[in-house]
Amino acid sequence: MTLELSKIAAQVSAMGASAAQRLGQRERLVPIVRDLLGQQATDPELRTKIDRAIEAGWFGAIPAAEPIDARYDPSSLPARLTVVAADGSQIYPDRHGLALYYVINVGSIALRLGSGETPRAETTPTVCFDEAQLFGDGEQLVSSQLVSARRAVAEMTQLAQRAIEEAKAAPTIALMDGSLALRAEHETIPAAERDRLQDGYVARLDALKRANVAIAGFISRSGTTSVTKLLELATFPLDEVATRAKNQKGRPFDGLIIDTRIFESLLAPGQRSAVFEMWQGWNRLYRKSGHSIHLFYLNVGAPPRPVIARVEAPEWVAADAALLGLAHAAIVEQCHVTGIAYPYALTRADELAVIKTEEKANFDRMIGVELLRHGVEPSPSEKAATKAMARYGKRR
Amino acid sequence: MSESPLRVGRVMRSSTGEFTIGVRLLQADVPHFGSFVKAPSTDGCDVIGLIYDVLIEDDPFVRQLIGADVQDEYIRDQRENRQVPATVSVLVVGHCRDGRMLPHLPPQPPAVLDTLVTCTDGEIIRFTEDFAYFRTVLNAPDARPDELLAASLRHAAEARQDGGREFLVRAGRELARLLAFDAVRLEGLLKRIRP
Repeated sequence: MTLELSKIAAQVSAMGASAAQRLGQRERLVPIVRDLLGQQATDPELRTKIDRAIEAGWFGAIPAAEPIDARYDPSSLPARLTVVAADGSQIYPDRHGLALYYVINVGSIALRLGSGETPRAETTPTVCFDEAQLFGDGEQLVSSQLVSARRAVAEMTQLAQRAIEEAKAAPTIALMDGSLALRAEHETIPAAERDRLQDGYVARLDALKRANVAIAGFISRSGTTSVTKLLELATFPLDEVATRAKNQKGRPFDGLIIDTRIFESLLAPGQRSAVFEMWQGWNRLYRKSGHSIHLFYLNVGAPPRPVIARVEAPEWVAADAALLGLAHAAIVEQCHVTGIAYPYALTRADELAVIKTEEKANFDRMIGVELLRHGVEPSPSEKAATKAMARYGKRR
Repeated sequence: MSESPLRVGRVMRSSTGEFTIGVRLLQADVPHFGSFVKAPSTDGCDVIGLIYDVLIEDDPFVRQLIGADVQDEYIRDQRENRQVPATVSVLVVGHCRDGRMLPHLPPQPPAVLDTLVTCTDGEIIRFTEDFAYFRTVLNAPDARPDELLAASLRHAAEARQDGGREFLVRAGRELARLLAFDAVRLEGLLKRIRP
């Protein structure tokens, strides 16, 4: 059976109408929210409202040291600057495959800008196949969430090692794709394993801080509403903040306006917003360890099309004008290399890390040969074999 | 002029009459259009060929950088690090078995991933003593035959101590015989190899 487009045509039509209606609602709200940002920049009540909301269990973005409607141009880059980026990919374990294993592949690159040298590209593939890696102390096979968390730690390890080495010679920025926070909170990840991963991750952040490396996470097309939530608080009367902050109903903007939409018409090309601190449950770990995750929005597009990226950085980068300025200017430069508004170094790290379908197939063939060499007859499960048949030249 | 072979690249695909190799980088001395090259065949002989095309393909990443004014490091990254091999096409013109140069096709083509190297001056001189390979080249329409044959003759002349004047005169006579019924083509070829 296949996806019969004739049966879903009406649903697609309804989806289009719904999207158009939401777009209309959103466009009407954008100038209101944008004006609110300017008005609240000097409102002394905002801080009190935030404190009350936090007490009531609210999550969102809170202002750091800068006025919330501030905009900053990028500073000029030093003549020598090194940009290090790392990214990872994985093959998840498959009970139906020839053998039980998973693979983590980390790609990284160091661009020594201004040196005239060829950038250094590396890949670090790891095949995990022993009992401890696959099952830990229990009987459950490692979950995809745990493999992803281990991959994230491997990325951070590679990034930190290379960036710290590079920082001995020139100002260095370390770039990650996506949020800077490790997400290891999941029901399938045992607490001891989670703690071990988090400790390792934080230790790398500690090392980056000691080496004075500006680390940042680059998030393209972010859909978060942290700043929108902050501006919602501003619309609540002070005595109603505690009750309304957690009430999902009657929230004026959330769900309609994402943060990037607010900044599209505020930030000129290259400009960044004020820095905000993330007030989120997952940020407790980083706040406690001196790496509280902060964020700013950045227009990495070129006229006439603004492209707003969200950039995350730990508190010691956010509070250091030199490191923050370096991260800001370097990301703008990186996004203008290809004209696609995405950092060149991250594109290359992704290209180095990705495991393509044909590479996975070649890897499976290697495993098959090795199994035969050791006298084991390789065979996929019956389910895998029938799926391979069904998907070869799909028919109705 | 080369007394020792230079490594060109590895065989990507091959057939009896031609094969293609991949190279990561273009260098000043390899690969050259019209160069004599050799690769081992699985039956023990060396397959002799002429490089007739070097193709550098683009990809979306490279296309994005075409119009960009970027620092040298980005260009070096694309040229030296990215795994986009240039492909070099080779026309098979003969083979070498037990030290004997044979101007006809070998029984088997080179195997995938075999290493292709340039022929030494001595090998080029010995192979081009026999002009029988001219026909193979002239009858390969996809290999720019006239340009290819002329380039190979210039390489063969350079390999000779005396600059190859006498060699080129002999080669010209052989071409006059082969192309006796196509004066226009002959004239074009002779202009290309004139010492």
